[in-house]
Amino acid sequence: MEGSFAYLAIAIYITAGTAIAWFAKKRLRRDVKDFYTAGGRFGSVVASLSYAATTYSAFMFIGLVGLSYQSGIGAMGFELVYFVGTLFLLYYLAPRYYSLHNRYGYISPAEILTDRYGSPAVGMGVTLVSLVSLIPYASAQIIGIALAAEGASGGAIPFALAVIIAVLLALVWSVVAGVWSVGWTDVYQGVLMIAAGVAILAWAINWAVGLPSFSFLSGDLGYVPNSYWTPQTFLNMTIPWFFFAITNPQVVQRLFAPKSKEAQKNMVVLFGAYGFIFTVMVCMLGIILRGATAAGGFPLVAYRDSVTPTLLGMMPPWITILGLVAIIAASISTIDSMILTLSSMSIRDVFVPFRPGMSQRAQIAAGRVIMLALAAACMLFSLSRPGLIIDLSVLSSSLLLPIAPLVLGSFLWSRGGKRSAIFSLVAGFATAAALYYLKASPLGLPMNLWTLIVSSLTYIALGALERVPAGAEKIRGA
Amino acid sequence: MRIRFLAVSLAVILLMYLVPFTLLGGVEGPYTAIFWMVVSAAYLFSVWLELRRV
Repeated sequence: MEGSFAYLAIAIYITAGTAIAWFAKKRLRRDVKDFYTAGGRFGSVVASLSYAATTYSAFMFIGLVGLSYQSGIGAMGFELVYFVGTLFLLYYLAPRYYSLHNRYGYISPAEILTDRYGSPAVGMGVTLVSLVSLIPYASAQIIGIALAAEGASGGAIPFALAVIIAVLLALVWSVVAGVWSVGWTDVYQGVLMIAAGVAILAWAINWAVGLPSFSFLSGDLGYVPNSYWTPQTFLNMTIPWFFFAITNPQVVQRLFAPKSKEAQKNMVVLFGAYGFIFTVMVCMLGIILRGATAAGGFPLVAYRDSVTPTLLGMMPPWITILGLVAIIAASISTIDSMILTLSSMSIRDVFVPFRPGMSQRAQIAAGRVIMLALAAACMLFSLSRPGLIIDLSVLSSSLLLPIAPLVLGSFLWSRGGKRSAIFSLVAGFATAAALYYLKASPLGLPMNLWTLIVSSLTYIALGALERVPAGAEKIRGA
Repeated sequence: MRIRFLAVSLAVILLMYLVPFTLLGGVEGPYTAIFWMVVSAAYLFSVWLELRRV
């Protein structure tokens, strides 16, 4: 594809998205709650597409296509376990988050944990863990964009330029009107993502079945366990993903946005329908491409994150352009949400406890400065090209996993205070980081299972000896 | 109602892990993929039904 077409398509996408972001500004009321959570004024469609676009990212278009290509149908199981786990957690916990936001005006997800465990140190700890974990995750999205742009344009769009454009775009769309610009652009991007996914899959099926000796599932890709998906690997990769909906603050904060309980119920179901279609589509694409490789129609791609960029370089120009824009959309919609949420946590859980009298205007201004700093950090991290998208994404979720016992305990357990919360967070985080660094699986158990066991046992053992702080009942009773 | 749904949910989650690695373990063809897709779609449908009730 000509580089000029790629630039033109990206320019149109950026112009339309920026216009939407600017238009969204009209809905923004100048207070912190509205800037970060829409003050609970999103309808079902905006809430669900925003949740979906925030969740599904370059991980899907680049990482999961590549993983399916390399490892077969186990990749679909991995993503569908996330899907079922998310529906399960949302069914029970989304109404509680909605009620807490509605009654007490929580803005950052960590503020709930601060109140439940009776100490701002808990909110600060969760914010710190989120910052450390999500910068690699956001960077994985940026790398996804840069790889796709490089592949689709035949190298005409250099990696570094794509990284800079992606970061600037995510920054502008989150700074303009907070969650209003992020949410409305999410709708635009969510539609683009699903439309492009359908078009690419339809083209790939039509092209692949025309190849002589094409087989849909070849070799050990058609079953589990296989050379990649051992029970250990499957468990290790699905555990952090299962708890994604309660450990990743950017999606938890979206639960504050629906305008009513009814809108929130619709959000869960519409997100579910979107997620199911998107997951199946993406995994099928990877499997079809592997079949095409076996049939001699698609080159053998060793580096799995290059599978989608290689495909983009082979398709008719209009689908290539649509695919490229969809990958950018998937990534930007996740990055801007992360920047926005991390900014809200930095303000509400770190700055405000030290300066309780901080005005609404000052909080928003400081939040925008933090967004700038976060964007710069993501850009620098991405330019170092740190590793595979799936690995970075799973590592981020692993580091966030120790938050899961704190969240579940907040709602379900009548024991536990700040000591159990902080120690379990530290113990879980240290376990995840150490085992990842050492590439160790003590007793043959996967790293993420250890992280979950260590953080949960620490939380339960210390929590059983600790009184529940005053005010925790309002969280449990939500 | 919510407890019954909890039991159904936990059973679904357990099946998502166990069946492909035991009953369908090593079975070639689309069966494992179909199993995961059908169970996931059925669970989405059951969540929709439950949310309508509560």
